[in-house]
Amino acid sequence: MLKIERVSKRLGKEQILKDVSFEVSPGEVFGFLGPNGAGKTTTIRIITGLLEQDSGTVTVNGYDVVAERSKALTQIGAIVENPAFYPYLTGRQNLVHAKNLIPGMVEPDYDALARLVGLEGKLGKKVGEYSLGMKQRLGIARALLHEPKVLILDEPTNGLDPAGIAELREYLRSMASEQGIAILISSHMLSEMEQISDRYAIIDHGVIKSVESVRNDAGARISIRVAPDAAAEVLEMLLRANYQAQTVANNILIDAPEESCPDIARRVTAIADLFELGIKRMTLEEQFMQVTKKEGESHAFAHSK
Amino acid sequence: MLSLIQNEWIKWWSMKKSKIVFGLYIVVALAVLAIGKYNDLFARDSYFSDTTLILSGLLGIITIVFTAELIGNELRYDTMKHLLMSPYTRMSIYFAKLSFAIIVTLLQFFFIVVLVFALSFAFSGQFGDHIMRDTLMQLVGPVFTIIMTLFFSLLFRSVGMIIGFTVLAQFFTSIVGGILIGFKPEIAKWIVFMHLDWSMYFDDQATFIADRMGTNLTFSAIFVFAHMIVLLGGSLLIFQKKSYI
Repeated sequence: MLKIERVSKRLGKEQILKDVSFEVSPGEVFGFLGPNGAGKTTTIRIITGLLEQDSGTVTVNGYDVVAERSKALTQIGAIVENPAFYPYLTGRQNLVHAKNLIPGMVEPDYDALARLVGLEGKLGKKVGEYSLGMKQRLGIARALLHEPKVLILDEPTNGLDPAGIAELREYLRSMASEQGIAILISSHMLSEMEQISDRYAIIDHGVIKSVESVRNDAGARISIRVAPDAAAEVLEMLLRANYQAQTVANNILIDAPEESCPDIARRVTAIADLFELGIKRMTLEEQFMQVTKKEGESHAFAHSK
Repeated sequence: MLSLIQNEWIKWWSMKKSKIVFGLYIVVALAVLAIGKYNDLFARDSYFSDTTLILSGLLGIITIVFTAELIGNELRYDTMKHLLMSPYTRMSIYFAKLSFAIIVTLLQFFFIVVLVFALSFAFSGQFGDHIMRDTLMQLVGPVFTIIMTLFFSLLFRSVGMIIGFTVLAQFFTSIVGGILIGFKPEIAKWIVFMHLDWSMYFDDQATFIADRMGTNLTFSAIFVFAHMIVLLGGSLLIFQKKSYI
């Protein structure tokens, strides 16, 4: 649906993007992560036709963004950076303005759209009187106005309260699965991305460092909890059985695949009471740190819940 | 492109000042009428020509401000990116803004003409056909101003700078041209602002300017259109290349 192939971009003397490649499939929510200045917004500007790449191609539903610009951009709904509106126009007038920017588009049901994003009864107000959260919602309504095949959202949760973020998350997930829209979300909020994305790419210094599934098992560990007085004996037994194990807080973490669970359970219950056994997967933040640590770099990421 | 022009209309008509300008024309026309009546200043034709002259000057300033805001406000509100992300080409977006500016200016111009013509019945006297003709012959001026202002809009980000440069270019050069007419008319004829009032080729009282410069309507028309084409070409080139990020 959205395909970025070996895209490079130089601005002045600085190489902003270098051979950036990834794909977003229909019905998929794809997180685009990276610290500030990593190249996220430049990539989004190229996808939305605001900037032209030096090399490489971007196709949207099969249409090249440069060669078939009009057809490609008709397939995209986007919020780039912050949702910008004419403050002296009402929410409805801003949506009519957006509708007029799509050639041949028929009049949509603005009220249904407002209900969808939680702005019911608010479209008659001037946007200058909207809160930041309301503007975000209106921005999403505008991006969805022409039922795009690809939705691109740059930091869409900025200004939303926790309830609003949860609503948006639920809404985007259902839209991806029910309508088959490919959604690309750029953010530096790792915990949010973890809850909303199917896959993610990490970009840093204009280079894609990793493209992974959020729920991947790479680095997953088995966690067990036994009676505190038996912990040392259980750890020793596991090490003797050639499991890589260590005690962390009250748990024993074992670097082993999920299939090892029955064997571990049998061994542990033979010598101690097993209170808890589970799989501990790496958080997105841990995965991110692992990817960037390889480069010996550190990044200031924001955390949100 | 019609829907783009419709968008410009939505933005313009939603601003209070779009209605205020029409009120301002009415107030000024009535004030001139009241002063003229009280002091017995005008015959019907002189009320018409003098009042349209005053209101055309006002329209010139309003046109510069309004045209400067056409692009300046898109940058001010950061909405330019939404225009450029649309499937329309940059050329369509530019021509929609240009067309709309010309439409709105013509709308105001004809409002002024109809208003002042109606109020001129308050005075006695003849109303010669040449007065209306001379008024219409001045229309090229606002159109040129719009094209020039749009050109400056693409060079500067601030509405204030756009207005400042347009006013400076227009009024300063017009004053210089007016002075040069007196003693260096062969130089004055190469100033485009000296060719924006084509009534000088029809109005007996104004033909001395054309006589001094030694030009005719064909020369003025070609000279003005050549400038318009250069400004339009320059504007399109800048707008196509400029990165609004």
